[in-house]
Amino acid sequence: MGLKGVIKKIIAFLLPEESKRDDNREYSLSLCNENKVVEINHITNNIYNLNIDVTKLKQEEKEKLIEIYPEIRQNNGLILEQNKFNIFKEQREKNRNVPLLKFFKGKIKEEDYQALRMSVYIQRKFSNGEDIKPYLNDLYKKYGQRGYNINNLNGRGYFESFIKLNYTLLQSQERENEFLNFFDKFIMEQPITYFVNQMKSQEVMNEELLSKINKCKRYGIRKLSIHGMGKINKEKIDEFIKIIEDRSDIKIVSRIEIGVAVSLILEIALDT
Amino acid sequence: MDDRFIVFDEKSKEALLEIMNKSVDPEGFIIEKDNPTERVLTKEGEEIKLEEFAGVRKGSEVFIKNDLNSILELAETFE
Repeated sequence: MGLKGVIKKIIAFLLPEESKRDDNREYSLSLCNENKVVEINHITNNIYNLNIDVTKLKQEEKEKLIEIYPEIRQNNGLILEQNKFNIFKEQREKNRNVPLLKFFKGKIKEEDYQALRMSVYIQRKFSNGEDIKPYLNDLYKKYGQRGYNINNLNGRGYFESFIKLNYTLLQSQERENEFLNFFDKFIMEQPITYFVNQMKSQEVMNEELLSKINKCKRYGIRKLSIHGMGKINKEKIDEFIKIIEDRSDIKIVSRIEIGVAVSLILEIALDT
Repeated sequence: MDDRFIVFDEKSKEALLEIMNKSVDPEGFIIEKDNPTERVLTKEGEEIKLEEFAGVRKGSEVFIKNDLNSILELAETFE
């Protein structure tokens, strides 16, 4: 029996007077803690929700519920916590067919793909102005620094441009087998990017950046992009500019500020 | 709402699990009521605590954790 049939049976048992109603109502079912044991709420048009507060059901009512709807134990659909259902629904409607995710599915390791999928979700929340801290914590807890790096790189469009392009290029040369190695290094060593971290002091950041610039020189990398979010990180980038602005081997190509995000692009003269 | 979905809230978790013939052991893990030594597993093979429980999907009994990745995975794969 489908859930619709089950709901009508439950109504007949718990709200017999309602079941006499001869109309074309469509019902959904929720199991939430409310004032009443059982309640029907109008949602829209002919759509109604039947809520059963399972915490208030008597033992015999629970047994009857299981008798009417034995599948609640095996479950023939999906029973999901309300808050998570909203994420589930939103993801299915808006993020399920994101071309970027489709492209990278199967091309990168499953764990990296999962982190990228979380990042796509987080970036959309961020662009809607929503609080993303809990999601970032979740990302870090599960995927550590690697997950953070994936999110940072995705947030600045590196997956859509640089990484995707690199895969396509390798593919055109029948060298796809080199991609994972490139990807791994790009994510963990971030050779052409630096993301300013609020937790790191100005001194540590300066040291890391100068060391990175030296590494760029050593390996013939001419361009380095520095990204920061928020007032504190913006100030750190501006302090760093003061250190390098007089250096003849480093040229500041651009300093772009969009909203709370700042990007500093450097061109590095290679040692001859 | 799709008629295959049932939602519940945080406060109803334990009562729902009881209806599903589950219980919680002293360490907070969800167990089979009929076999208290058996902790239920997610499809990744992880034991699951009551506080991490987000739901169950079709299949024999596929338990879902409440972390973001588990919900996004569910959204991608649920038919």
